[in-house]
Amino acid sequence: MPILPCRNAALSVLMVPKSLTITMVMDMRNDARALLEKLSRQDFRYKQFEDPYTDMELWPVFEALLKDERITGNGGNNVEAKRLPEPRRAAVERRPAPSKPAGSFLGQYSAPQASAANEPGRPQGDAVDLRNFLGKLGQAKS
Amino acid sequence: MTIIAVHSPKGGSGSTLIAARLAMSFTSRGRPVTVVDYTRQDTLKLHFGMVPSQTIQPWRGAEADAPVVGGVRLVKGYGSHMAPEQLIQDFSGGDKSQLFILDISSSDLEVRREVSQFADLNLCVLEPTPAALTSLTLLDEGQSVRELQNFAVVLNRVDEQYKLSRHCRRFLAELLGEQYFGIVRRDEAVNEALAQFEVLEKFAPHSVVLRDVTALTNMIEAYLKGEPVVGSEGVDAPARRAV
Repeated sequence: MPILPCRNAALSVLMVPKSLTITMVMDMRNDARALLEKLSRQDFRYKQFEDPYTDMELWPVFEALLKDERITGNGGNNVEAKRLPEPRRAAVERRPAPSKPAGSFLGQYSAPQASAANEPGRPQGDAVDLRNFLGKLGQAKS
Repeated sequence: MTIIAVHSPKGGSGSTLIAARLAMSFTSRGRPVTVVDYTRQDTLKLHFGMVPSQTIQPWRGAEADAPVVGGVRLVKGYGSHMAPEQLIQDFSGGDKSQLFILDISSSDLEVRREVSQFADLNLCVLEPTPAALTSLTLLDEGQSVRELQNFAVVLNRVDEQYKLSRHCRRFLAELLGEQYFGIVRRDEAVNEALAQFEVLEKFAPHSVVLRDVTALTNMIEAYLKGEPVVGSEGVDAPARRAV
């Protein structure tokens, strides 16, 4: 099934032959309509997937990963303390670890919890409120 | 020379596809590319239209062991008993334009750790599944994923018909920021091409995978040039999409 690329990251469209059943038919986006006209193809049904950020599912696996220090580190404060060894090949110039954009939703969270792979006894952060996080994310993106 | 290590902490995420497609993409741009296969399953060759009976012997110094297919030199690193860095040095011949793409098995932690020390980019391939996302915790680099240098994630086999697939994509984009290099969408044409022993360009020239890998190549090129990697939606950012 051809899937049209889209310019909006939160939006995707899918076009399938009309012979297939699609449960929801929406107004076609202009770029999709233009593409179909360009291709002289009118035998497609159209479905648009759009998930407002505020409608993000509260998947517990996301929350677990956000709380895992192996993913998010110690609130980003230990970047300097834990550099990888210097490369053995002199020509390689390591790029610094990317800085997260100011106001990133991850910044809204308290320190991640220590995992089994991390130091024992490290202070545990407060529980992550994923709904709150997603709500702020929605505000930032909408 | 430039070295890109492609790996996944979870097997079956499609790192071989990504390595092969990147190799062909960079080759099409005039870059001399060598792919080093550090996996046991020996499936890299299928992406180049080779058949299972065509074997690539582990590299031991004979040029015949490194066939050039579609302009890409294929080297079997698995079982070569040669350290990756030495192998690369042998092949580079001092040519700084050489690009090496290493396909590293998810289970081969030793090679992955060794290569990560000198690779210009460590590209981690994940699927939009809970198991794949969770495997990020197993990178075991001594520092958190967000603090890794020369590290990026590409989300493979994204199918936007499915909610979790879309949400995984958005979650990773926000979680990783500049470390997120976008998506390569799922297309059954990839498997169909392999079944026909054909390269994807020939079997399905309009495959969305080709478009996404082109965009990924653009991102990697920008990264290697030190240009800012702007945004967090990877290949979906209009400026990065090659149309």
